[in-house]
Amino acid sequence: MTDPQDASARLAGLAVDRAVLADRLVQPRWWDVTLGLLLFGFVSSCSAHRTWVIVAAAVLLFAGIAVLKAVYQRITGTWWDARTVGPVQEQVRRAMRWWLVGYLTVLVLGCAAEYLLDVPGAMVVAGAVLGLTAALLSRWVTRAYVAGLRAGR
Amino acid sequence: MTAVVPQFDGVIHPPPRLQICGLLAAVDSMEFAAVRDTVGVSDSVLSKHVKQLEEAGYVRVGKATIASRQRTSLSLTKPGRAAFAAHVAELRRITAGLDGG
Repeated sequence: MTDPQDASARLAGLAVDRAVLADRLVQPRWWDVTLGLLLFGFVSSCSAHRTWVIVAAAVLLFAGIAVLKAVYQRITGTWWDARTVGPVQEQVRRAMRWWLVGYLTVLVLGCAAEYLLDVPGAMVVAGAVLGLTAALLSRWVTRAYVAGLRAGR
Repeated sequence: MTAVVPQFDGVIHPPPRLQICGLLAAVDSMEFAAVRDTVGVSDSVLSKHVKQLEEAGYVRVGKATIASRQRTSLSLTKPGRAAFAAHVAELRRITAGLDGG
C-alpha cells in the first residue's frame, strides 16, 4: 500500500507525464490539410461523371488515409482514436455524429444538384465544404484531446 | 458509465510501471522508443518493466517491420485499462484523506 503523500506524488507524476505526452500528440498543419484535400478529391471526382475517375479517387482516398496514419505514427510515436480512449471521448463522439449528419446532408444535396438538377460542379462545391470541415474537425479533435490531457481529465 | 471501484495494484504501482500505464492509458498504442523517451529510462529497464506488465496481462507488445526496421509498439489490454483506472481511483481515494486532514 501507500501513504497519502506518496499517492499525491504519484498522481502529480502522472499529470506531468500526460502534459509531456500532450505536447507530442499535435500533428503538423499540413496533415489536416492533406486529409481535407483527400476528401475533397474523392467527393469532387463525382463531378467527372466517369466511374473510373470516382474509383481511382476512392482508392487514392483510402491509400492516402493509410499513409497519413503511418506518417502520424512515425512523427508522434503514438496512435489514438479520441472516440474510444482519452479524456474527451463523449465530446468527440457527439461532434463526429453531428459531422456525419452534416456530411450526409451535404453529400445528398450535392448529388441531387449534380445528377438530378444537372448543376455542373455541384459535387466540387460539396467536396470543398466537406474537405474543409474534415480538416477543421481533425484539428479540433486534437486540440480538445490535448487540452483534456493537460487538464488532467 | 460504470463507476470505477478503487483497488490498489502492486504490479502497476512501482514508479516506472505506473508511468508506463499512465501513458498507454491515454492512447491506443505508443512506440517503445516514445515510451522510453517520455519515461526517461534505458531500453533494458523499460523492457524489464514491460515484461512484468505483459506477464500480468496488462500490456500487449506488438512488433512490425516497416521499411526494413522493426518497430515495437505497446498498448494496454482491456484488463490493463481497468486495473490502471482502479489503481488511480485508489490513489485519489487515499489523497482525498490527505485533503480532509
